[in-house]
Amino acid sequence: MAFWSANRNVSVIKSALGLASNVFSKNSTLSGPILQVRTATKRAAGSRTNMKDSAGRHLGPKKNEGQQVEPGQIIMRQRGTKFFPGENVGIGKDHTIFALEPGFVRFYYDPFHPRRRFVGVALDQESRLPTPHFAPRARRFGYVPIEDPKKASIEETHLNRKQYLAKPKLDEDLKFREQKRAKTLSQYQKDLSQIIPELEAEQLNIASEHLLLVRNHLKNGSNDTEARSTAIAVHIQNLKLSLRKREINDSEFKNSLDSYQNLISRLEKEVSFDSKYNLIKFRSEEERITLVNELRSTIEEVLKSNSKDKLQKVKDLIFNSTVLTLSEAVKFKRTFAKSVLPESIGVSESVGKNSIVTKRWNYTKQRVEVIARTKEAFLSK
Amino acid sequence: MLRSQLLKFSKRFMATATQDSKKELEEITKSWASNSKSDSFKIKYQQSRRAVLNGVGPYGPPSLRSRRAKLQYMSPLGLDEAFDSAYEILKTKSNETYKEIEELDTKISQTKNVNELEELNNLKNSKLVQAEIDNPEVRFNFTYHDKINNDSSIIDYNEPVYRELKKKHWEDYSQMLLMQRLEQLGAIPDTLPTLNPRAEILVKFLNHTTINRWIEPGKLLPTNATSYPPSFKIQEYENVDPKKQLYTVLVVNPDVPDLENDSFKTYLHWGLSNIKLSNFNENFIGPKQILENKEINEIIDYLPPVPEKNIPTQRFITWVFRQPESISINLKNRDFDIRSFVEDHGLDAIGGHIWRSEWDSSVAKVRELYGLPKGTVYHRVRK
Amino acid sequence: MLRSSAKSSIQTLSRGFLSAEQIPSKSGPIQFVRGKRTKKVSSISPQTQKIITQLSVLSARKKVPRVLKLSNEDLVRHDAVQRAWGVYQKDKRIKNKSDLAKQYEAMNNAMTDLKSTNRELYDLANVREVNKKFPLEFRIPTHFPPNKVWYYDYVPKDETKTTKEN
Repeated sequence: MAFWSANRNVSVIKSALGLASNVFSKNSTLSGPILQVRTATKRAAGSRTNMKDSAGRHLGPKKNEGQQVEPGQIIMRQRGTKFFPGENVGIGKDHTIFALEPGFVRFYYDPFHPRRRFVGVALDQESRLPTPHFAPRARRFGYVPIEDPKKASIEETHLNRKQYLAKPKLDEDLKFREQKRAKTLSQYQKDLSQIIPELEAEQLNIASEHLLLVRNHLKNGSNDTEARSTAIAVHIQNLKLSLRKREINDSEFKNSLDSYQNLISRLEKEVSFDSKYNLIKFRSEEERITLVNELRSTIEEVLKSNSKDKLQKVKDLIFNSTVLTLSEAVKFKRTFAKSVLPESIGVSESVGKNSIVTKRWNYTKQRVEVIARTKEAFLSK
Repeated sequence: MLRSQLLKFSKRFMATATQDSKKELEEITKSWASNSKSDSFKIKYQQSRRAVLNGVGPYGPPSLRSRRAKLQYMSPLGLDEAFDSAYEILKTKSNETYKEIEELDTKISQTKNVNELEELNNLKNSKLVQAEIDNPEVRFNFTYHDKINNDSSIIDYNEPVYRELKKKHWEDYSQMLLMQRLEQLGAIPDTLPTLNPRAEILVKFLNHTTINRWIEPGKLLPTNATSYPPSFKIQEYENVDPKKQLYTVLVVNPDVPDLENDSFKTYLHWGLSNIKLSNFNENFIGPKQILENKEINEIIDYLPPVPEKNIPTQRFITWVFRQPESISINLKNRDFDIRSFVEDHGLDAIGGHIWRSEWDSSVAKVRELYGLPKGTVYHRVRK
Repeated sequence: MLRSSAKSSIQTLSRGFLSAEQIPSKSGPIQFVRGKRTKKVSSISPQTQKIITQLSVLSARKKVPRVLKLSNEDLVRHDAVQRAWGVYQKDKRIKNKSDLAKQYEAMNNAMTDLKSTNRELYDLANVREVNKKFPLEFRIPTHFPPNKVWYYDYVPKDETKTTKEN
């Protein structure tokens, strides 16, 4: 009995391993006896797999070549993509092909995919698919205009939920911006009437609108010429449009264009922006640089004084200045308004009553060093 | 840490601590091939130039901003020595190429055959690229400066090297993006059959301060932003003569509803012809250029996108062409067949751009500004 | 044959994959044992192994070499070195190719010369030696010298004798 069971084990292993990787080849070194085991395999009447065929799935084409279809009608039911969806048809998750546009069914081959069969819908009875590769696509518009003006206006003002919820906030923001704009505009008008008193009311309006637009572009990062030319272009385009709308005639257009250009050239000669975008009398770049140098010397004088709040004074001088550009102001702050001065100034030999102790990491020695500094090393003290 | 590194390190630390050691900075003795003359082949900022050619000195790399980062930075070991010999190798190569260019110049002055001359000029162009493309200063200038709004004293596109570098940069991303958008949005083949892009076209709407930047192809823009005409930049990469070449710009919209045929028709929204770019750097066509340059012919004035409610998103495709001769026609009708127009005038499409628009609340305002009738409102549901 | 009595005659086999060589070729029954380890036991002590595993989980950086952090300037310098190396290699390749071309041309010229001057000699020079693809005198170019550099006691075949025999 033992002999019998051992051999049975061997044959089981053989069938398990030998089929997959054929490790027990013909000249295998297994020398023990191998016996074929046949177990009882007499089947009962009938098979377990018998009588299991399902009903037909009703696959196949539901529309034939040239047949007319409406959107959504099924053209083909299939398992897998026996036919691929071509032009104006869609494909479902079970690969059902259906029409997306009304038209005529076409079965065709596409030279780009030589091994695929396609089904498509041609919009006309005459047209064939595929449409040539470089030809414009045939497209159906399919939308219908609303004739009733009342219904049309309702539809036009219709908002979806997201837009509806966002609207109050957007309106409020817009109102705020417009108020701000009006404020700046009136300020500009006031400043401009002081700088060039002989300007008429209309000219004043146009000039301040122009300068406001230039300011916006400058603040937005445009350079000077780009900002000015854009503002001019916008005005000229508006003039052209009012000519097109017949609000003004040709001679009026010409006159207003000329006067506008005169005004602009005058503004360029007589008005400048300071660094806070306020209007000032024209200031050339050289004049600005002399002012910057003056500011530098006043700051240096403040730094020499012994007042306790000199750091704050210097900061105020820098950031309230209308002479410095933003980058210059930052540079000034870095050079003059340093809270701690470099170590060339005010390092004391020993820690005493008058010295302030600072700590610093020494990279070479890999440790913290203690340095005593006198009060003159600190602007804030 | 190695001793040499440690020494260098402590030296750098000391140098930052004391002002006097500034004198220790070495002079720049290296220089590229003697025939390499353009200023744009040099690094403008002296400290960066010294760091590139002489190695990162005791103050640390100038490209790092904070003092702490500068102190902590360590160049890889052996790079200085390797760079010196590498520079010599590249420089001798460049010198050889410049010699070949001199020979080519004499050949060019002797030949009179037009075809041969063109071939020689192209060869010279490629040699000029070859002579400078390995120059570390050129590479530095190109890599770390603005490539679109370029400063011509740093990146000078009149030099073939910079054009070649920019072309590669463009082909790496922007060109592919443009082609993808044109194809996927069906601009090709709905307007023109196809495009072989050879120039980069950039579009910007200057009037609107919130989108005052170069527009990515395919972007959906608010109608408020597009209410005034756009500005273009045409960056040529091929060796054309910018003093003679004329360009046409067409902005077309192939999605205008055509109710009669229940289909779409194409509108020409803006057309400019006879545009001349003075050189490869000054290639911006903005309001200033259009106002001042009287040679530019406006085929049709600008009509902003004013899509109607409930129709699908409209595409606005800008096509830029090289034109063989001057075009001085003016159109009144906006119905436009771009294919026949291109064929009639022998235009050669070199680049394009696309943006999209759909109905929004500012359409009514834009319509009023341009004196257009109120737009049709369509049913929300497509029949 | 004698067998050590200590070893069980039943071979154990885990469920892991085994190659053909690993399967014991002895006769006798094979028995599966679930979960039996077949891998070799590592030489590291379990404590060390535990620490290594923990570290490797904590920091992937420890396994990957650190990326060189280069400043802009150094990146350009590094790039220049790489380009110069490429140029140098390219030059070398071109030179090698042209040398080979020259060699070939010289051989070709010599042969055509020979063909025009003396056809007989040309034929003799180009005679095909059957079964003599790599004569021992002909050393194939190798990267390293051979183990036995020279066959001192080598005697070439007597050519006259062989031709006569043929």
